[in-house]
Amino acid sequence: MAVTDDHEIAARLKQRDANAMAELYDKYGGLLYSVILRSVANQATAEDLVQETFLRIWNRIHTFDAERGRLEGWIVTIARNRAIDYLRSLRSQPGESTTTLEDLEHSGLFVTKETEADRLTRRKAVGAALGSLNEQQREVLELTHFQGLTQTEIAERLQKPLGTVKSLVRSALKVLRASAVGAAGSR
Amino acid sequence: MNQNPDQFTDLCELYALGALEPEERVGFENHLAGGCDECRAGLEQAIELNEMILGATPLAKPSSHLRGRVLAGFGQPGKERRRAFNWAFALAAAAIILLFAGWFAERNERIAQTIELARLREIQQILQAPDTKQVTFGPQPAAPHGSIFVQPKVGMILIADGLPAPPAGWTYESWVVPKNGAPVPMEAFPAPDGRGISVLRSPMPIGDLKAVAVSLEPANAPVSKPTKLVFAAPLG
Repeated sequence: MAVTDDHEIAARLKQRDANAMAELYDKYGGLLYSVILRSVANQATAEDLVQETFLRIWNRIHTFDAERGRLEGWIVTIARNRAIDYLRSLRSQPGESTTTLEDLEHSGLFVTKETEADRLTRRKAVGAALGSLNEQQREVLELTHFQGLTQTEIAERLQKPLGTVKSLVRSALKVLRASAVGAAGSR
Repeated sequence: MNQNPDQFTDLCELYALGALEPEERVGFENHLAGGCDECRAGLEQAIELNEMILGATPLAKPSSHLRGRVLAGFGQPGKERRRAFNWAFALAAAAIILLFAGWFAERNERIAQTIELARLREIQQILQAPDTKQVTFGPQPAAPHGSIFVQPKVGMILIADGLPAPPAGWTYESWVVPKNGAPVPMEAFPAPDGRGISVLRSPMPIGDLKAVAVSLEPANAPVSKPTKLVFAAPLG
């Protein structure tokens, strides 16, 4: 159901249908706000960045493949990147990775290759696997996904050897990847 | 790519997060640019895993006025739900609005600045890129004329001068015109004093485009094809 709805919303956004933007907000506004708030930890800033995110979606919807694209994945990535850009600007490294983040918003990377039911199953499995990570793994994942830090920056912030940080990131992602693959295989 | 499978997967996932060190990132991007299908597939999987991690974020509730703020920019009233009219509620709301009018004005100014800043960052990125090319159009000073700055990776900036004042209720819209296919609308933009700037994020490779165009469109209405074409500037 959700995928069909998303395709329809995306198609209507391409036609500059402002009602579709309202539907998009009602469906995903809470998620986008939550992702951004988790990164910036400030309500007023998070709300500003949500507004910027929706403006970016509106301006870039013509690059999105409404028939095959995963709208949710695309817009969550845009929201996360807005938050990371903001945090990087506070850390006085504006623009350093902006191009990279923008490249990652390329809509061709968000193509649906499975059913929505399969995706939901895998998503639940990943959610459960997140709960199984140890505290150190969760900490580095928070810093990579929600703070936009490189492994070197994480090592500096946590005052841990780079090798230890790389090992923690790798092991955390391996657990999550295995859960996603396992859930897909179990269906 | 010359990596073992685990290293390769790690590389894709860290790139998907924008978390690679600069030198690793450049190497990975150069490799991707070579058209490696395996890396492309690995990157898509990594991006999807990231989406699932982000999607598992516990939901927080935004303030009730955020919906209105966001949608106001798109011509939507932004009311969360219909309520029965209530005079006491209306009076209380009016009092609150008066009390906080100054605060809201300041805040809206900050929001506008945030949006404008993001736009300026894009413009700066295009203008400062070493491989940006400039295409001029319309040499006659009396007619619309200006420049298009083309940066193949990021997008284009259209700077137009000599635009006639739009009729009331109409606005300028920029378009990209593919070599094959219908024009694609980009964004509505104002043109005070006949000058306008539009940032064009092309939905297709810039090499596949024939021209950039500007039309007049009814304000706040859906657009699908140019209503009144003002000019079309060839790119090649």
